[in-house]
Amino acid sequence: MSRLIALLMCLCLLPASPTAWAQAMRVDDSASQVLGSTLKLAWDEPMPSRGGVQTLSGTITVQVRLNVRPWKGQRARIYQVLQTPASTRVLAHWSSQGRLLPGQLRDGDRALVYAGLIDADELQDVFHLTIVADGDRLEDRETLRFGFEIELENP
Amino acid sequence: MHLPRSLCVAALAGWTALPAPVEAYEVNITAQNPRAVYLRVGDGLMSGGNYNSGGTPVAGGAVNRVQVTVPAASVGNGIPVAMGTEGSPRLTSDWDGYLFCNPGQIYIGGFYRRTGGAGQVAQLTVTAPASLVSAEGRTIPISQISWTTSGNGDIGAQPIPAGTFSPGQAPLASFPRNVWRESCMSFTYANQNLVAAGTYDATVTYTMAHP
Repeated sequence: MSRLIALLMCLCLLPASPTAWAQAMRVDDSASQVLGSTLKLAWDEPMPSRGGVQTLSGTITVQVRLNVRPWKGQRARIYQVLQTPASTRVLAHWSSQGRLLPGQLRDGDRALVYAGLIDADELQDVFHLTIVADGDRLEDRETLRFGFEIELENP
Repeated sequence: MHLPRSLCVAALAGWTALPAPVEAYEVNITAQNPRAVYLRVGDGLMSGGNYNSGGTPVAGGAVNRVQVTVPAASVGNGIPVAMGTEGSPRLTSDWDGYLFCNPGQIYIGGFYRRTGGAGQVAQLTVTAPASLVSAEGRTIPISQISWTTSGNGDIGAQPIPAGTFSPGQAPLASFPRNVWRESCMSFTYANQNLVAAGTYDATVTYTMAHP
């Protein structure tokens, strides 16, 4: 019996793949800065259609600064996350200047922005961030909360 | 290790005063033009093409006339007479230029747009006088005029239903948020009154009100 338990434990400890990823940790991006005040979204179509989703969109610039000093010298993946806002559904997509990856994500989801060796104390980039919101749900004002999380390779 | 009480308090105060790291940047969003309402009855005016090609509505346009001439021998015989239009009011939809109405009909359409506000609707009403009046002051009850609605290519119920004018303001239809609605009205004179020869006029006004 004890031998069987030991075997089961050994099986459970086998990694699912050659590369193991740790649980995600939040990255301090308190130095990031949104350039501009409230982003005013414009209707994507000048009038409602005869059906379908009514969306509004707008673009704003974000200087992204990620404090990755705690993980310097390690291989990692960094994701941008977007919390689900209170009233509406949101799609965010962004371009970058190359240090981080461009991409897109929906609220409540995450998207990869970096994969590889952390070779600096801070990762910087400039995002041109476009927000597309569902006009049927958007209330007068909404705050979108973005964040970043990191997963280390072979922790 | 025993620290003096005052030192412990100071150390605790120093720790709690440290700013918590902000781990999320925030983007505040709002709608640039959260509300809009558009109503066209008859001709209407657009600038720069149709809506779907970037055009924008302009206030104004002709007040179109719906008319019928009843032969003297038929006046008051109770047989309804279809009414036509004076001139050629525009028959196309401002949404995309589609030929939505047929000659003799009056286009009516629009939308109520807003963000949020689930369940809210705009109300379309029509306000009519009690009578059509001739130059001599003779009258025909406004209830002698009714209408049906249709639209080329439409299936199912029309968003603006058929009806009959009545004095005062009467509801016509509800416009849900963010949906384009349109119909074409065909008017009929009931011809139930024996009236003197003459031209009888009345003006009705359509209004869309939103919350």
